[in-house]
Amino acid sequence: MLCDKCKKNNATFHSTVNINGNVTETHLCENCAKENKLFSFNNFLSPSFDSFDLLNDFEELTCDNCGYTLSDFQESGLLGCSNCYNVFKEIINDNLQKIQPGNVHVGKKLNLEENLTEKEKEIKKLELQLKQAVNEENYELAGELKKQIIALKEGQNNE
Amino acid sequence: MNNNIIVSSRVRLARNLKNQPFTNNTDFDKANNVLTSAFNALSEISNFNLYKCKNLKSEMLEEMLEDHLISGELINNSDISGVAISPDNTVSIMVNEEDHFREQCMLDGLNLKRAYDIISDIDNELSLSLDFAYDEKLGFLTACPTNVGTGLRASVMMFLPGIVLTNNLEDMISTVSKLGICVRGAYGEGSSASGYMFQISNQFSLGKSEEEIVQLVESTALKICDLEIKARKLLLDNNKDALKDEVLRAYGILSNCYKISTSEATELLSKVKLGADIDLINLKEPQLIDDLIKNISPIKINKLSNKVLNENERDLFRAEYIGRVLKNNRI
Ligand SMILES: [Zn+2]
Ligand SMILES: [Zn+2]
Repeated sequence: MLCDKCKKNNATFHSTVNINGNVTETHLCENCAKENKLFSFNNFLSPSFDSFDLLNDFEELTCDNCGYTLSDFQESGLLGCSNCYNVFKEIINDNLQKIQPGNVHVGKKLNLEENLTEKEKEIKKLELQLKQAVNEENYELAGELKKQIIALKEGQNNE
Repeated sequence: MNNNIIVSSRVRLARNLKNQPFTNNTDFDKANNVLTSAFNALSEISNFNLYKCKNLKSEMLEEMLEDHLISGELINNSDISGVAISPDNTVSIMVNEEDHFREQCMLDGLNLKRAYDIISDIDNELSLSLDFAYDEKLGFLTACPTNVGTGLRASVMMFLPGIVLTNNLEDMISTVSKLGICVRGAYGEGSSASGYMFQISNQFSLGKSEEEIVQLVESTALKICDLEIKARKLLLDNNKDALKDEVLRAYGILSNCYKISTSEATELLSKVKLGADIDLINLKEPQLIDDLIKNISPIKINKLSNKVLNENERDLFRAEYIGRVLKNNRI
């Protein structure tokens, strides 16, 4: 989300002001928040910080999986784990809009059978059977499966 | 002519494990778990050589870096990082780089499609035994959002003296950046002086397929190639004598100097390379110039000499070595 004031930096300070039922939301970057009178630097440092109503919404967004915070992301430009993509979804989406031509992956998919050739699927199936055979200590079957896998792999290399 | 302008092609895929924090947010034990499962999976892939960076001497790491087999980031993480390298040195899989996996394939000339096919096959194989972080909408999840989606970077190394010498570099860079292509000095930011080598690569990774990205980088590289050929023609038409003088002087210094630094040698060799490409100088084996450019860094000179030399000794050795290679190479 961009800063309301300068429209340049990411907004990291979010506040809601309720005056007689009129709710105003303000989103500012660190620089503008410092400049803005509501958030004058003195207020930040004052001991009455906790009782300062305007600052109540400041609890920082944190990834419940890896403990990474929004400011960690903003400082490093890097995320902490794959779950961070859910936690910081909005900010990341804004970010992606600026740097990527689209926001949906249209390329290769993960580990789906469609990525594999018929032969690779066959090898994969045999390898699973092999693991099971070894687990069951059925070494005769395991040896046979191993032979089949090697034959298939060799055929693949010769193609 | 294309082959001399487009030096090499490289494709890399960024991948991470689903259940582990990214490398920048990990601890020693978790990072070692990643390295262990990576090496288990990689050892299944035939005959790759596996190295833990902490077990390699720093000279070895520097050499791998110069050969583009590993990155500076991997060296920074050397207490937790590792690499698997194919016997022919075309494929390397870095572990615990910025992402858990940086799978890359590098081939000579303009060869992006083939490089992608090779690395994609290996990626498929790895994805059978490793649990990669993947999201239906965003694709492959990476530590940096600039790599999310395909995790793909396709890059081409180009030798562009004509574009530089005709002062067209900035225009070229700003034109291709509008296409989503970025241009870097091959030896780090803003190093146009070191050998006219540039890396052309895609800036984005999401919203286009791997094939589209590879196609974009390839077609842009070919356009830049045309531009380079035009620039060289312009130089020959307008500045042939001055250019030829420059090339022959460079050859003269390289053949006769007593000591020379890496940067001066690289600059002069690049001039000779250009001269050989556009027939201003006739060499028996022009390929020797490319070999020299790759082999005169401090690390390579130490290796060639079989000693650890100081800077002055290296400059002496380098001059002697270049002189020896160039001797009798001119027709
Ligand atoms: Zn602002
Ligand atoms: Zn996280």
